[in-house]
Amino acid sequence: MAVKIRVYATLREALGWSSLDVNIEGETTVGNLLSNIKDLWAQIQERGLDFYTILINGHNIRLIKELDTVVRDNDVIDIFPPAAGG
Amino acid sequence: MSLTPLELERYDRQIRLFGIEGQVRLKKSKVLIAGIGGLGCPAALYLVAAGIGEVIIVDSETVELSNLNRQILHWTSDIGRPKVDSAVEKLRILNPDVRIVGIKRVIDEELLESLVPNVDIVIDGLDSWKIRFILNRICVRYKKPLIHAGIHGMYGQLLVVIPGITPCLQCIIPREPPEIKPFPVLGATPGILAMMQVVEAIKLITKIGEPAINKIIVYDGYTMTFREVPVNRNPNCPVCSLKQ
Repeated sequence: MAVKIRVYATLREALGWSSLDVNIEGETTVGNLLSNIKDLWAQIQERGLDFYTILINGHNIRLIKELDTVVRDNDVIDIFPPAAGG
Repeated sequence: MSLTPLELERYDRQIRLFGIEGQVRLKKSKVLIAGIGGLGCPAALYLVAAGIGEVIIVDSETVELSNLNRQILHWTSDIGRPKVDSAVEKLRILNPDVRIVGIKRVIDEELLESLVPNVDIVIDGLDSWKIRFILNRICVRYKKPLIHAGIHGMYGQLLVVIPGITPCLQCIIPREPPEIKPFPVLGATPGILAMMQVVEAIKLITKIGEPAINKIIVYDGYTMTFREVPVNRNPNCPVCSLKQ
């Protein structure tokens, strides 16, 4: 199945890419999917999961099943560090 | 309510956009700006220039030298003054037709409970998730549109919350992320985001265009791109849950 991952702001800057199309066999979870993208997972681990907003099709995974949220074909995952300053 | 000859002249260029009816809507409206810093200063300037009827600004801090790269209503001679006093003085000179109310107080739930029900739109000029979440909750409670922006360095995000219709801030960011203070910021970054807040506020008040709803707009100054992140209301949102 095909999944799109998009990253923004400082995460985009650190990774050097803004969008990634991933093809995987069978159903998986957000945690499994992200942990297999080494550079992305390293960045998330470095700053901590709490630092990032992770949306799957516009829904925050924290309000679904966190990293156990199931990923399906054609899902879009958006990850960004919300900016707090004002 | 009608417009005076001076108002017709002052607002001539925008009346050409949305008509006298739109200008009267602006004149009848009340906007709360929570925080008169990097976002609040430019937002206040343009809202006051546009002829909003009443602009209420709230902030408890005093002007510091390190504010001046971005908080453009505060000048070198204002260092040490309350930000609210510094801002109100200049805004009144800019447009004496606008009723400008300055409140020098710490922004907390009690204060917001007393202000939010009496305004039409709220501009988020805050710099802390904790207070933003309180503001979001009170805006949802009183069904007042909240125009959120946050900035960091060369980045920023915009979210227009229309309670009952769009996701609220906590649909998207359910828990407070860790904060970096002091945060880096190029002065123009909050300027850009504040202008987007003002455009959205004026669109909502004058009923022109389409509000930027159901999406977060992420600004990236390094690449000069604006990317849209689609967002949805969350049935499990702790604030605006559809299950409530």
